[in-house]
Amino acid sequence: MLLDQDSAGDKWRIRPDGKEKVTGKLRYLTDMTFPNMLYGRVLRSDYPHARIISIDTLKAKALEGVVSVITHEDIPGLNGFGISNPDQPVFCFDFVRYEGDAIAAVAATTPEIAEEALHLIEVEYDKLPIIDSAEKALLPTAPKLHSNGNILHETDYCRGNTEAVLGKCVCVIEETYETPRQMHTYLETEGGIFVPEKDGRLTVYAPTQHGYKDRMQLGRILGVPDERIRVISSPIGGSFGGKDELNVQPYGALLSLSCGKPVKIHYSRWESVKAGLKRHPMKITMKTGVDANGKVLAHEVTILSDTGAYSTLGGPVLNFATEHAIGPYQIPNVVVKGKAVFTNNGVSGEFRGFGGNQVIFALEGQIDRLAEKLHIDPWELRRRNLRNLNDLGPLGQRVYPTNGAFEVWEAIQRSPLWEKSKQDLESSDRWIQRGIGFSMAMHGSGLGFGIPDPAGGILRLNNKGKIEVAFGHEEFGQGLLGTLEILLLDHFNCEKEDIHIVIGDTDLVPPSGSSTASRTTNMVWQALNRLKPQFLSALYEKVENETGVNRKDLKTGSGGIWTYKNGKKVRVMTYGEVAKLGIEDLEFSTKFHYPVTPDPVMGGHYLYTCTSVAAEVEVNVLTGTVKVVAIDHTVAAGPVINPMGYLGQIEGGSIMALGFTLSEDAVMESSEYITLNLDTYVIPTILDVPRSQSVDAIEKLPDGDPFGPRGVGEVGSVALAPAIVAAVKNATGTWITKLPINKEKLICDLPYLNNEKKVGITHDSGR
Amino acid sequence: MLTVEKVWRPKDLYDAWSIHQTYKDASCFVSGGTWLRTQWKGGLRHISPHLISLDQIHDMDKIEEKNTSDRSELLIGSMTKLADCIKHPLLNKYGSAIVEACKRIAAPSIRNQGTIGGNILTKTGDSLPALLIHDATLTWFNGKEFENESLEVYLSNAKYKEVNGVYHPKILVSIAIPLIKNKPQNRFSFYQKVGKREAFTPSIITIAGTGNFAANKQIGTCLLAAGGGTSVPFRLTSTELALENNDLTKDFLQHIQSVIYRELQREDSTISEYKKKVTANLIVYHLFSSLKNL
Repeated sequence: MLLDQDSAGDKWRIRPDGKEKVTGKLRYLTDMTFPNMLYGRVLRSDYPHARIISIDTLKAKALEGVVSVITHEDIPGLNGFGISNPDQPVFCFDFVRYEGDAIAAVAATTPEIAEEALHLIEVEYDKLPIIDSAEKALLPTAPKLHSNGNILHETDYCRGNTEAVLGKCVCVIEETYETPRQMHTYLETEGGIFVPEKDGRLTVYAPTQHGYKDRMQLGRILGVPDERIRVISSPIGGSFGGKDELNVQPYGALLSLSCGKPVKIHYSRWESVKAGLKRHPMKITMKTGVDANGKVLAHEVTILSDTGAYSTLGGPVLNFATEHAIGPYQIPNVVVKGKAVFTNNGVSGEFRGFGGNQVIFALEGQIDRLAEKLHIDPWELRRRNLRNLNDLGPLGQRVYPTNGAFEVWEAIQRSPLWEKSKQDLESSDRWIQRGIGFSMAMHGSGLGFGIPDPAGGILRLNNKGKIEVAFGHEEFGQGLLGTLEILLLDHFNCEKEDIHIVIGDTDLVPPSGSSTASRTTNMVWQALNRLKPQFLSALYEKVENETGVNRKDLKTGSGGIWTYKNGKKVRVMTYGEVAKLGIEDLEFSTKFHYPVTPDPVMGGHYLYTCTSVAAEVEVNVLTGTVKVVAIDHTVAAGPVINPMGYLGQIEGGSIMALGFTLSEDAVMESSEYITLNLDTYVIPTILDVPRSQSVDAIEKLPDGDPFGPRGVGEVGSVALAPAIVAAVKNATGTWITKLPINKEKLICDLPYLNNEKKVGITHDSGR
Repeated sequence: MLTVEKVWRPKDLYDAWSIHQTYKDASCFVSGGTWLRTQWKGGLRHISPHLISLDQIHDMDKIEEKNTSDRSELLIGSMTKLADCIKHPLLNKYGSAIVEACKRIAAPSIRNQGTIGGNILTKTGDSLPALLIHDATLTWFNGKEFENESLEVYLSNAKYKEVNGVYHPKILVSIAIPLIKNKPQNRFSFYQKVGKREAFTPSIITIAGTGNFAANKQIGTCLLAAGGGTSVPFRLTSTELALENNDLTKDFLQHIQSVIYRELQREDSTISEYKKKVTANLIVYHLFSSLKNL
């Protein structure tokens, strides 16, 4: 179904938070102020790699207006954080490992005084040799950044005998692909307000993608039970994975407790660039061999992932990349060896796509190059290798049956760009060369085997007579609130005014796991399915007891519970009236786990979303500029719950991928960021994105599928890069292996001066 | 710690000058302030304690035609907002390359605040190649009187002077471009900016050109300028000379391409290969297009 306002009908709803956001009225957490609030700042390292000799805060403490200056000596609990492994110091005391490493923090009465205080903290360093690449980190002579060495995590998956089989292949392609250090570039930079309460608890107003996990980490740092901390975490001005890990929270928490006053910290963009997470830059070498029929027989992959100074989620990202380096193709002989390596290059971490974007760019590139060498149509070559409904997953693990790969493979052939690709792409200007390219991907949702992936929720009638849900999920612009609203209106056939949604406050919501990994829609859908029968049963029982109307004849509706009397719909009781009777027995909670493969394959996924993408480009060969003029997506993710949200996620993910492919690179030199602000770190604007992006949603699921909607939060971002690169090849004859695309590779010499229509291209035909 | 003590808003140039004389290094003239702000924020300049805004000074934001017996000029007030330059009918009539350049600077909200004078004083501004091909003259106020200086001379001196000077000892008042009333036939003019994306981007390359074709389709005289990024824009006088009175054949244009390439190299030995190639490509393309469109 082509997703747009028309096909969505009345499911196309105005976002609950839409008007406030668009008019600028919405108060984000970083917009808040409190009376007597102080301003916090963090002192960061002068060098990417050094030993700390001494730290002297005396002068800073003496500055008028400074209320507190803290260092590692002031941490009551663990001096460390990290979702997976808390190896990142809150405050460094012996070594600094990247330029964003924190050494001290200051709270003062004005931001200017806080800034000046930073300059008064004296730190003596002994500079150490800089490890500014993953290759350097692996040299035997490289200094060890951590006690266990410079390898954070390794993967080593193998089946069959690739070496022997590659030797017998009719055609082998070996290529190395490189992807950039991409920045999340959320509009709202990291920040928050930390308020010590009279009862000794701490309230944290700071964006995150997992309030309960932040509570756990902060409890560990402060040396207090989790329950002493309240995390209020929504609304959030964009996250994309960048705000899942802790950022300002340790500093704000420690400062506010040491001052006994509210403290606000809000990073400037520069600070966010230096201290914040980035997508793992990866170098991926693939050696892939086929037989004469185009059957892929062997596939060898090495992945070198630059994880930066600390762990965060570098291990799981590598696991994800390892699985997705094989993807939807059934290949009998496979070796994938990956290394996530520590360097002094910032910190790489969680980012929409989670390691899939990088390897899918490489994998699809391999398939296309094999097709070219064999003179087989690249889409046909994919068909000959695609997984079937009941096939095992990429790592040989059992996955829930999915035909998504074939469905998207087939559906893109109905897209406008498919039709167009069969024609000769004429250009009125000889220096503009046009091309169309295709790619596909299968992307896992949930955290994967081996990582706790709990879910939960509460459904109740509240004392105001509203049907209320509470989830420990977050709204960071992905449209969770809209989705929940649609689900509730659908379940209860009621009005917007009859429902109430509670998220983003650990005092008010149950743990629901993280709002990451494209899991949230599925989790709330499943939770509501589990909770609804119990809730309705109790609700109808109560109404029956009060009114005598048989519970079998009751149905929720607008404003209350209804029945049919003499063929007419009559409202029996309003929700408010029911609430007055008592609500204690009208609250239900559920806990369960994200669906996981039964096979103990570390990181292996169970539920997948599939996509195929077509991209049309115009390459200006005078300047080497690539313009993407149209994109068609097909997505197999089960039922569409929130059409506007779904469309927004695919389009938004796609624009992030456009930046990844054409312009974004957080450049570092000797482990220091060069692109410090948005004038040098270049993201697409409205004028860089195609006017038209069509999204064809395939809702079909295998018969009896109990899991419902799959995730679409990430899948829009993972397959566009190889489609653009294939389109550029189609337009110019040039293959690209490094992103973002270097314009210099696409410059031609004065083509319009020659008599030939087009210069220097081999036009692929026969699509 | 430096903070802003006062923002002054004098009503005339003499007052503005006198405030500057009082505070000297501790003061800075500000027009729109949009570029200065990026410099202060980026730690590339210290924000002066005394900011002297020129926004209240009469008549510095007008665009007018000035006709005397021996010449006609278009006078552009230095305080004219970029957005107003874009809309102005006279500038559209006589200086389309300048309008095109202004359209490509920053983004709408910034163009509502930033001024053409401010763009000139950055010495690398994207309006400069377009102004150079219009043979622009700058009028300064030096505290006592007005003095004129060719934009080309200003920029070539700027290359050798300290670019990070804290304050300008003169106030840019207006820019004059000569108007050719009896224009020869077959005039052409072009401007192009290549950035890192379609809009709201610093430039990598800027080019501008104007000239005419003779009746026999040979190129007559032309003026060419190039800049982009951190380069101070300049006139490509060697290329201009090489072009004059020639047929734009394929071979000749390929020769011109290498002339441009070498002229760029001489002007700045550190210039990137991409910039040389693409500047040459684009200038030749525009000359070729202009001929085709005759």
